[in-house]
Amino acid sequence: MAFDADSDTSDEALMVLYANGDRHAALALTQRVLPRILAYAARMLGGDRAEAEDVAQETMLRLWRVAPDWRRGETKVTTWAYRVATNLCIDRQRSVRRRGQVALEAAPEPEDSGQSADARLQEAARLRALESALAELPDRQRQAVVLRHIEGLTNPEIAAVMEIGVEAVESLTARGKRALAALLSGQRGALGYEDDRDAG
Amino acid sequence: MQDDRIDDLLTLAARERPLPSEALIDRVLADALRQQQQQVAKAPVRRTRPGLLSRLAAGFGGGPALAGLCSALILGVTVGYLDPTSLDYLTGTTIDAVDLFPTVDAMLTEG
Repeated sequence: MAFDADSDTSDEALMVLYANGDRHAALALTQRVLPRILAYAARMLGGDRAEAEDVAQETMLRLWRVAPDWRRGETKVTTWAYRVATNLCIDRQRSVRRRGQVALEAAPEPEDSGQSADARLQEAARLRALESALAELPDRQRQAVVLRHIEGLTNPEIAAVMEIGVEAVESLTARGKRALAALLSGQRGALGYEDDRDAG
Repeated sequence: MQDDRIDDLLTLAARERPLPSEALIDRVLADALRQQQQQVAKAPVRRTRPGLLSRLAAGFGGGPALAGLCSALILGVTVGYLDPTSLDYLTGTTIDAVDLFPTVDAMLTEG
């Protein structure tokens, strides 16, 4: 039976089917999980696409390996994958810091959505500024902000990914957003937010 | 910077999600299929030994035969255990005495 990213079959059921030798389940899980993990890893690694692809591939490999022992109902597949990707990103960030390198690439260029060239340029500048500001945040704050506000996870899901309490998640996201505001406040003019000064 | 500006930026970032390349998808699927083949090859063939009841049932000719045998056994024990007065009540008759071994004196009498 063929599945796709939008079918009603749950991720957990696909894991069981994959473990039983179903090839279509592997494709469906890849379509569902890989884009999310790649995007998350890219945010966590300051936009380093090559590193993010390595993390995403390694996360998926671990998913395939754990499939025969997967216990339904214990944890969501995506939560598990985010947790693995988080740990892999932290390992790589530590490794980069030890080598004294900073891998910060440009944010992806926004797709053409019928906007004017000026508007697209401004969006690209805003995204680059956001990526830079995110890279400045402490690791835990960055994880919480990215998972909550970019990946769209709920606070309990983030708590499961980060293995902390929900209150700690709320605190991290609040502090992360305040830190982002402080980091970006110096670039209001360049980002087209000049009126913020007057508005408070 | 205002909170709603930060929210707008984060919303914009959420919309601009980098998509996996074809090459990455191919690598991930190749990993998936390789792992799947290894796991299927490694999986032990499970031979479940039948339980005691299953073996007993097989010895008597299968489950239905064993069920019939058990029913007959229970009925036999019940009838054997019942007090004869209860049997009289059930049958609606009264049997004072039943001579299970009738005398053969009459047949032996000469003349």
